[in-house]
Amino acid sequence: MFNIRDLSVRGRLAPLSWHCPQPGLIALIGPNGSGKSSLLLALANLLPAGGQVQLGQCSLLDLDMRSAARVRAMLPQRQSCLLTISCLDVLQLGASMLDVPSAQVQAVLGELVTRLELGHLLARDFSQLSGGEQQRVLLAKTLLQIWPDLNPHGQLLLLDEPLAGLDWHHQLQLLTLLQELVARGVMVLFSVHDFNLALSHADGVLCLHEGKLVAQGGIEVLDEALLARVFQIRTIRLSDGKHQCLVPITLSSDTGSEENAGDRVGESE
Amino acid sequence: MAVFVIWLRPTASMSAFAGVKVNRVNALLLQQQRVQHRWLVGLVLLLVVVFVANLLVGPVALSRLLAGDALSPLQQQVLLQLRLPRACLAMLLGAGLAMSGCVLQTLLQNPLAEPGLIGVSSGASLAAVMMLFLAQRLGLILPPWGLSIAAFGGALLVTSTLLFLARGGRLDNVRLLLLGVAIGICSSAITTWLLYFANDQSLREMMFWMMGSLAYGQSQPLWWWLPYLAVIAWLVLRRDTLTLLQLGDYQAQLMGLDLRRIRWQLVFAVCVLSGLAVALAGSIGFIGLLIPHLMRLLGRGSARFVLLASMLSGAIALLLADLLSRNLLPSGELPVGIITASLGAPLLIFLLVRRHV
Repeated sequence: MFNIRDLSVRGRLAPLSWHCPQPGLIALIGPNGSGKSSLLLALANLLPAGGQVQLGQCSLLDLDMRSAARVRAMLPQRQSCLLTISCLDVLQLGASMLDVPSAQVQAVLGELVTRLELGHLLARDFSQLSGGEQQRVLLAKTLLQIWPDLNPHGQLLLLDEPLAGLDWHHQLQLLTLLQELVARGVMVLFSVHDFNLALSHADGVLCLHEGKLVAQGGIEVLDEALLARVFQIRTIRLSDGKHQCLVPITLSSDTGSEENAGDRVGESE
Repeated sequence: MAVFVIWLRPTASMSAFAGVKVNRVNALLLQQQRVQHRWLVGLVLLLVVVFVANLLVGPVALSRLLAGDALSPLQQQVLLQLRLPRACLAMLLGAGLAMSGCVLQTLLQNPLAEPGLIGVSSGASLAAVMMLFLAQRLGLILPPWGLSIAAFGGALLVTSTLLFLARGGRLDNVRLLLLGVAIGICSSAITTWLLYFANDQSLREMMFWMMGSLAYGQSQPLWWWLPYLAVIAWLVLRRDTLTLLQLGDYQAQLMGLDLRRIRWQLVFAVCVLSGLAVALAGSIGFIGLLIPHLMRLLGRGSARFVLLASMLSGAIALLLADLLSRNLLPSGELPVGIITASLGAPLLIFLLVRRHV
């Protein structure tokens, strides 16, 4: 379904390939500056990139912006908005390029407003909201663009740190919504720094380091060894038999062990 | 009513409790639309009133027209050859300047952006002042259209420089803004040099030009206004594009906008509007800065509404300023730029203090 071949961004991302046969909720992890945002921006046609990206029947990088907006949606990292604009107007932008009756848009918008608990924000000025509230409004706008009821062509959702600034309640609320979207056939790729949320909700992991894809696969890829290798941290895994989480203990260098220093990142997929 | 019912109809995947919020979304949308429609209708009515007042009030009173009385030949001449073209010009320039400010503030994501900020107005003013300076030095008598041609040439030169330096999308919005500011400072510096070396008569004429007056443009033939009208009409047609730009470059592109193309189309449109405005009436400040902010406060920010409301309000503001500039002094008139700056600056301070901007 989703096939990336030799995708590269000059100076930011070494050629990487990845294949995902069916829609899934894929966590994109990596240290700061490892190329996560560059990968998402390249997939959204916002950065000039080489290689090929096949999404279903269409070649994503060859699409013009208008066509691309119909098959993918993206939430970039948070940007400030200095102009006065109501949250309702922000939300409506999400469906602005879709040729669907406004009645249908209102219905889905109503659903998303309910699911993301945004009703009390609708009439407020977007620029005056807190960071987390702005993030939730932008998430709803982005989801509106790709929501299957409105946009049957939507196949890919790219989210750059969508959980940043959200409290646990809203983080879990969003992840549940994303899982539902995956079940309806949308591929979701989201960058995240909280490994435990990736462990508990994602279907797969892509790990980037210094612009290279260093690990990919199911959620089992995300283990103590990978974190030690890429992030130079020591972690321990806690489990109650049903759930598990990774707890950071120390920096690798604090242990005095030199073995990690030598094999920081050797492989590229 | 039918639309209302359709809006409430749930989709197949909707959860049962969503209806309540659909109702809220729908109610808010209806309320917002109603408020905006009321404001637009109110502004149109106000525009008509101010336009008529602009025609009738002045040293030669034409108020008998309201009573249905016939005008004397002199009064007809005043109405048709002086006030009507001048009122139309004020309406057009006010609308264009306010729309330029609205477009620039949205495009550059900068609440304090205005046409003067990208250097076009300064370039146009410099060219006009330079023309006056040369005419004085060479002892030439300028035709009425001479200054306007020079000002438009200056605006065009600055626009071309901007487009050339930023060709191929090499400049982002912040650098474009800084480049405009730098060009504006250069133009102002050269203008100051020229003012310093000008004789008293030229100095007065230059200052009058720099402070703005509609007296220059009213004598220009009608075709001068046509590009202005065309650009205003184009902007009105592209108001949905402006809506997409409200959240910045990335968001606009993610919504499917070809930003590189549309950005330069909009910059060119602003340059034409502000360049022609300087060519026709000198430098008129504050309308492009203030009016879009005021309209944003009224309409809660919907760019589509703000653009249309700015167009109407800009026209009203300049008509009012012109009315004041012609009638405040018992003899002669004040430059209209003094009126807009004198009223606009305190209003801007008020908005800043109240944290509306």
